[in-house]
Amino acid sequence: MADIVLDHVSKRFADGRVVVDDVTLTIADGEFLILVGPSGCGKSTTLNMIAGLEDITAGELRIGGKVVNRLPPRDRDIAMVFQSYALYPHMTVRQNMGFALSLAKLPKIEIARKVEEAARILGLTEHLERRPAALSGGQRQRVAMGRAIVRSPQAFLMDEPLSNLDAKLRVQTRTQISRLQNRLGTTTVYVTHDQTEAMTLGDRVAVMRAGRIQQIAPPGELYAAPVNIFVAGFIGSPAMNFLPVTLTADGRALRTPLGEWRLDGPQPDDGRQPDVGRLLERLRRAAPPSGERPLVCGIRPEHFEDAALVPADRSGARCTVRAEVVESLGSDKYVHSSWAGPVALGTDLHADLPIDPPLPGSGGTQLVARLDAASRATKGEPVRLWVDTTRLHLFDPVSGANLTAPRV
Amino acid sequence: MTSDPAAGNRALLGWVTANTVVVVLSLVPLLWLVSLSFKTPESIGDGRLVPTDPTLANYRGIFTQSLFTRALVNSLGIALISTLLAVGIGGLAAYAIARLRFPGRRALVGLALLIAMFPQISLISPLFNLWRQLGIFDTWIGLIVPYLTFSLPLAIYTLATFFREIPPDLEKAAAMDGATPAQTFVRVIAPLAAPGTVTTAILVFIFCWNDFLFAISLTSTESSRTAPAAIAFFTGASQFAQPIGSIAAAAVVITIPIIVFVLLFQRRIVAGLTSGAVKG
Repeated sequence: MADIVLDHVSKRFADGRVVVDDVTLTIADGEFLILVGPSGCGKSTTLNMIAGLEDITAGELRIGGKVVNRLPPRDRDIAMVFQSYALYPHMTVRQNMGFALSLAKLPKIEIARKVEEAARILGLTEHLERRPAALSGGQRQRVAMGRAIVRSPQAFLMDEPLSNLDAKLRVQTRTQISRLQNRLGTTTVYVTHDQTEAMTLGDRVAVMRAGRIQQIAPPGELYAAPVNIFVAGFIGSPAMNFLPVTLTADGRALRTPLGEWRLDGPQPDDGRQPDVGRLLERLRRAAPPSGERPLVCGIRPEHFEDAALVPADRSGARCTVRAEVVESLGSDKYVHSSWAGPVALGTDLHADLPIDPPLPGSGGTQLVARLDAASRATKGEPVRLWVDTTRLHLFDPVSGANLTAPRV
Repeated sequence: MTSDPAAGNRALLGWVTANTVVVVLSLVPLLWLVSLSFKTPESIGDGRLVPTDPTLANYRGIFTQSLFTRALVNSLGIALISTLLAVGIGGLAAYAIARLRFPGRRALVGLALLIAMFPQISLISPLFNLWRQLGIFDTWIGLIVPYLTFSLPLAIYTLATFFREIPPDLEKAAAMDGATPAQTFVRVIAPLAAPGTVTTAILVFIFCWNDFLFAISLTSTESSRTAPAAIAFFTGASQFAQPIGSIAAAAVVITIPIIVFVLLFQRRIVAGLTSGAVKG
């Protein structure tokens, strides 16, 4: 086992496109790191460079302290699970799993022992003599995993290993992978475009966009303190709501499409709520007040509540929207609303984020609120919402940087 | 299929007629040839499909002449060696064309196609002179070389198609499993390309086996004359008798290896060996 260090690693293709741009990343021994991002963000290329399947244009890659930039894959002692599984169709499951060991010229008995051990862990024992064509999708996926674990390599690389499974199997297999990694304690780099996989699997998550790492943090921190609009919008489902707002000249209120929200209302003294003052304090530090300024305001769906269910004296903003769709999940209700008018995000950000474009016939800005199941919100009716103003994120509309990221 | 039974019947009738025409057109000459091969010289011209007194004399006749037996050996040897070389060299070239992006790749493919289209007859006299000066006129190698020239483009084209169908992820997986490029080719790619290889081998073998032009022009003795060329040297029992019976018998004999080849490997050709490689 070993740590993996990417030191200012870049990848430029022959046509001049830079797909991985100065990535620096340290993956500790035994760590489960997720590389997540929209398609084309360079996450798979990064993985392939660690694997040795792609050349590194610039920078240094160290595995276990050794520079491996020029080593072919077979000398790096790492195993990879492919999105397509890439099982050898002419070999049985046993031969597939034992292929690496037979290339390494291990004695036959040893190979059989290791393959059977791995098959036992993955529940493939009765399928050992079958060919991949005779297996189900989930079984093939496990064979691909088995091919990686029989070798006890220094690290596992996984390239979207679950994306070809159906939804139910994906959740099951996700848990299995997590358990397997815990048990083996092998350094793992896992690539996915699915933020749910990223949040549930990793010790740490690196969010990538356009070849650059945006933020590397544990899942909880990524969710609570995103460094910019992209990370804020990418992590979380349903995605964070973004509104174009204006900070008033006194820096104490936001003019939003849903009315003016005071940020310094009276605070309850129960001590559990984060203080609005701190939000303003952080905002002042990041951007000293200089008259009115436009900002992008981010609100997670769960930081809304049905105003009827919130004590009237509790601080926070209140606004009214028309509930276009109400989804009742039993535990919660999701209220979808939209209105015409200026939007907070440019189209390039929209293209990369898992946020639905506005529905035809509806307005430009979309809003999703997660309300308590007790809410009386009904489709087509106006609903009064309460906004927890202490949990707002305010972003610079030009750079996209989070001006209010809480320190964790 | 249509729900109207009358229209369905008409369609069926149309298909039956079309198929019958095709089968009759292709089989009648063959049947006639087989029939001729069993006829005596006297009944050759009687115009009957079923011989009146069938005889094996024609077959006995051609197998007693070293002209034909020796030619069969030449044909078999030359065709097999050409096929092996074409598939071997063509396989490596096709793999490179299917997988590598090297400068001049398109030019190479274009050149191969150009050679395949080149009119063979225009090469005969230069080759005749060249081969005599090189001392390979009337040798096996003198036929194998032009056969390779014209069968390699075919082999490269067919094999490249098959290699392209093999998912590149398999090569990456083999690389991760610790295989060298050579080990990847031998243990993963070649077994998966087997149906394509066999198909290509049959096509090349048929091309070499059937060739008459090079065989008649670049050979002069039994040492390298192949069967199709040898048939042209058949003579009748007397100066005035036509060797039609012998020619028919020889033609039937040289058709047999082709039939055997195709029957033997047809299942292999059809088998979709790559199913189950990726996804599902």
